[in-house]
Amino acid sequence: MMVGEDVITGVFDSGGRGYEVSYGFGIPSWKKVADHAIEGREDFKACVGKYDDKAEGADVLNFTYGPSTGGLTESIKFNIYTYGERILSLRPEPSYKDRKLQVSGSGLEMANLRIERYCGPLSPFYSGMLAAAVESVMGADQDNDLRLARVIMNEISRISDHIHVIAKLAEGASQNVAYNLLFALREKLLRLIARRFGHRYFFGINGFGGLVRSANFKGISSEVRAIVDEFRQIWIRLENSRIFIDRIQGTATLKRAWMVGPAARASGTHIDARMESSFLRYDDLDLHVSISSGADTLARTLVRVDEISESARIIERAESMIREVPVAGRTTKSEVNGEISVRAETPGGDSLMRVTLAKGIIEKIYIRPSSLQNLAVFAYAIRENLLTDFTFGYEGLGIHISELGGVL
Amino acid sequence: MKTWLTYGLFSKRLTTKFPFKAAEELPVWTTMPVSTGAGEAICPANAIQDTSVDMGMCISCGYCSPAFEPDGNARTSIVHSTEKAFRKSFHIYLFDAGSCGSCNLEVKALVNPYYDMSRLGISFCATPKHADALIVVGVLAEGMGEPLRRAVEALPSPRLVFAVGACAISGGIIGKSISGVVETDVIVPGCPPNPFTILDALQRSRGGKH
Amino acid sequence: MSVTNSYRVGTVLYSLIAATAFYALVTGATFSIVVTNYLAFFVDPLFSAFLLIISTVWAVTSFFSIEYDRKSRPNAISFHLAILAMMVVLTSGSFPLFLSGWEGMTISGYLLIGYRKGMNNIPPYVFLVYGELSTLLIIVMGVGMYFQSGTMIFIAAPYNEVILFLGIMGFFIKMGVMPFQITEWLPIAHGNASTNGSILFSAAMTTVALYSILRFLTISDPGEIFGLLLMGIGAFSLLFGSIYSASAEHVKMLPAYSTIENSGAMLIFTGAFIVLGILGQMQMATFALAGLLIFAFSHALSKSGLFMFAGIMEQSSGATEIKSYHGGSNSTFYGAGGFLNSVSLAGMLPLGGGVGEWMLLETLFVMSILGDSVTSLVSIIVGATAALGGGISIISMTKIFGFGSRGSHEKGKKEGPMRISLLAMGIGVTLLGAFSTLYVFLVSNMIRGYTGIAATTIINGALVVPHGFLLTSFSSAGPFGGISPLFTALFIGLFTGILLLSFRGARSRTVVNWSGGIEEENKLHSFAYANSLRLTMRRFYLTTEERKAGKYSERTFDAFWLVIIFLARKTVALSRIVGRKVMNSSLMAYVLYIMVTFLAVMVYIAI
Repeated sequence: MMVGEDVITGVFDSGGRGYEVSYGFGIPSWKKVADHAIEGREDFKACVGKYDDKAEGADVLNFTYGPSTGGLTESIKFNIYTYGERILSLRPEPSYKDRKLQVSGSGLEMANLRIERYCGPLSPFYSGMLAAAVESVMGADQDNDLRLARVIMNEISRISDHIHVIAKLAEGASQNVAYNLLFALREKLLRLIARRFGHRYFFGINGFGGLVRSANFKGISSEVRAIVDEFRQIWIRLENSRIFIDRIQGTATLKRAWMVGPAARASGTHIDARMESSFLRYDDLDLHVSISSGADTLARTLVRVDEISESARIIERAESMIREVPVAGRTTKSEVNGEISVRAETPGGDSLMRVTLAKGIIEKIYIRPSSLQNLAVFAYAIRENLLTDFTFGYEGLGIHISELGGVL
Repeated sequence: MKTWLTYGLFSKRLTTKFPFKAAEELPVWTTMPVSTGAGEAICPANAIQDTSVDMGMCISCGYCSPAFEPDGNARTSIVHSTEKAFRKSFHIYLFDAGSCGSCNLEVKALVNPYYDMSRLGISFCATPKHADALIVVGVLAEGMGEPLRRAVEALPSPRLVFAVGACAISGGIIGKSISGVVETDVIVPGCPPNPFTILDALQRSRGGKH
Repeated sequence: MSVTNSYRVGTVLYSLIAATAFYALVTGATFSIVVTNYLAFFVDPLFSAFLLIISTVWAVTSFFSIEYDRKSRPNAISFHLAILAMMVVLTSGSFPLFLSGWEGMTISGYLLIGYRKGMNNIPPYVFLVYGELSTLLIIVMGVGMYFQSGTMIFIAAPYNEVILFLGIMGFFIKMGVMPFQITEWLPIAHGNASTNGSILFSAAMTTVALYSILRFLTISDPGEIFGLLLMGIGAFSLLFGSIYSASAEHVKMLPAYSTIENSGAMLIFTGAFIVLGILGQMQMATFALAGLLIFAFSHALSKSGLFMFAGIMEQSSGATEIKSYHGGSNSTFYGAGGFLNSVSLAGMLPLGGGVGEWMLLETLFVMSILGDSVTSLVSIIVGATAALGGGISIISMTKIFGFGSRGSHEKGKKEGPMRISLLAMGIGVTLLGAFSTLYVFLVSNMIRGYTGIAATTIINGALVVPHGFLLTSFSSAGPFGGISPLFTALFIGLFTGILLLSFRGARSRTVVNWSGGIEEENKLHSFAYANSLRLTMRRFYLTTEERKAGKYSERTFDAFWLVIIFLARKTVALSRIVGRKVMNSSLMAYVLYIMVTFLAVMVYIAI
């Protein structure tokens, strides 16, 4: 049995009474459930982005942070309830920058471009998921080289995102040398991506049945390896900094069955969507899942550090196996019908996508991004922490606000 | 083990000489696509009219290739008005009106050692109250209209408003532009515009050397 | 006579008294009128110096009351009665007269709080119990002294120290020194006394108690241990007064606790004066006594001012909790007066409070290097405690002024007697600080009467400061340290002026508030402002937090108060039983009856 078999991992509101709910972290399947049965559950609330926790009482100071402030890269508002320095509870309001991104009703090509812009830094994951879903509905066997190409793009993206998270933590702890070096490293990686794929964020590269542009995979793993080696050098120094470790150790500790990604693995749970073959097989890439204990920001960071090296290894293996990546043709096929759910391990954790296709048009689409779970983790875990821990709790989870709005 | 100091001393200089010298390495698909005359161009964003490209609408997807190919020139921004008062020090505030997150990161990348905008006297500030310019990224999300209006109101004058990225300029392919709420002084096209382009726009908007 | 007119007459009368006191101090008037062995009046420079301080408070408070209290006749009567009683205490030269004045203070105080509508009877009753305890202790001292000297008139003699200490305890109670803080803040906060009443309690009556302590100490011959004890009690009171003041959320409780803190400082001065005298350090004894007078004067002025500030705030907003203030009661005088008074109480130079605090710490510094090991140890501990308490008082003063003057852009309130009095107190305390050397000249002869050295010896000059403008402390090796309040004031004024002039008309950019891009939803309130203190010092506050039915609550306690209220409740319960059995009538009227009878008996004995 999989870990967290009865955990709600997706809630699809198909209209009418009740929800269609996906349980567990395996291959997604949907069950119809009456609303009252699940609405009070934490995992349900996390999936639908419901944060109703608030501390009341005489003299509780509620102050708001955001939606637009210099301390946040993306717009989100936090209602922080405190007594002096300690956070009693926290209620995020991510709806401010909800773009109501319209994907359903568009053709496949436009849907693909829009999905890329659903969350720019994670675009290969989501465009890859959509492409895989469509390919699978079309009944085409996934091309092995295309799979490896997507694995490489995803893993590079993962390294970039993880470095960014650790850089933000170092920034918060005023480890300025480390943070500048890490940001430079990420820039180096983005330039590498731009050289080989034509775009720093992989926009316009993923297509249906192939890549839209030809990409250069030759020697990519050694370049990535050089960057990861440099990262290890920086990390060795960073992990020896008492100042840095003190800030993240014991910060935002939480252990829940519904957690995903590094947050879950940092609490000792052995889950990773890459172990499933639901859309991208990693079985021949000898994936090693990093586990840590402690369930705090430090543990999450250690998992990310491990995963950076692991991703570099996966890229090496994938590059050694890749031959000729097919180029995507123009998708004009109109007889594509069906419904499918796919799952991917984004840097923040398990993300779920459910697509209904009708006559080559996206009829319905649902995404449950990992950031929803991670924001809930943050909201629960930051309680009883000090206000100064806010940055470390928040940045340590690598939340992308743009994901939270979902798609229509 | 080497200390941070020795680590830094033995690392080589990363910082660009841009804008005094040409950009070292531009990602091709953020620059202006120009017609090559090879076949018919497809443009999902409807930015292409015959042989000209409206950069405000271009989403850098590259679907027009090979009929159009990027020209590799960092200067795609259009500066409507400049403000010389910001020549010595220039404080900018990043405002996310509803982006995918990549424009934010590209603007924030200006502080990393490769671009290091502080060498030009440009720095981020934590509130529009202290800012000289508002850097708006993303489409206009419903909930961000009011904050955007307030942010512009909070800007002391003289001031500049930048629309950075196709979304902010034209709404791109995913939403509304910010033009309904604020008047923009500088537009920086691209999806997302690369840091060199943003830096170039910042420099030109203050009438600086370029 | 109408209420307002009574205050008008009072203003004139009390101003005349102040002028007379000033004249008496300048001329060094000393005389006594002995009517009988029981009834005598004393006038000497100590009396004049204190009368000047206290009558200034009376006069300005009376002027304040013209606008503040327009129709409450009982309040006006009690107000003037209390002043009369204080006058009796100050002028008395014999025990019966002294006691009747003292008792008059208690009764008028009781009337000021007891006959306000809509309150339960425990606070005034408890106040009365402690007031009577105070009188009882003074009676014990009086009886003891009578047995030693054979007369009811105050004459100098080496009185028994235990008897003396018991009497001093009686004065402590009136000063509200810890753990008797109940007499200070209870009537003010719980009894919700009127503002002019609170000023009498906090600024005038504490000064009367201080005068009494000095009066009895100077006619007896206390030992060094006595001085050290006073210093210790003072330090204890100072620290806890400032701690509880910082956490107080009631607009009058905060200044009341601050009075406890300042009473502590004055006790330290008194103790130091005794110890230095015994050690033969007459120059520093002179310094300490001068410091005590400056401190007492500036405290009387600025505390009156702070209560006026609180009273205006309370009257215009109708609320007593500091956290509910959102400005709107402001005028220029209000802001300026509140600022000067609170800054002085926070101990900032060149204001009176700052000069006093510097002199206090300086005295303790010098005492710690005198070579006497016990004195050194006590001085170091007391000095550290005083410095800590002084630091914490900055929190309470910034809190009450900051939150009380929030929204100062909403001007438009008329400047009436209330705001004029507030500003007058502020200007007074500023002038007192800046010209404190002149004040030392004024009291110089009075101090010489006790130390044998004219206080002018502590006024010197150095570097650019001409002679007459530098307050100097002395160690056994010669001059130790010095400040020039006037030059500090000039320095600050000069640089502020230069800055203002040079940036006048400079290009400035005006912006609106920014709260993340949305409507400001919450403001930092005063509770949160002081809460880090409540959490870090949870042992002193006995801070408890709980969450019941989703509601958070946090409570802090005055640990000493808990004990006192426990005892008080027991006493009240006992009294009720006795009261019901002896006299089946209203408890309040009964108590009042006893008091009046007691006073009558006292007056009878005196005559």
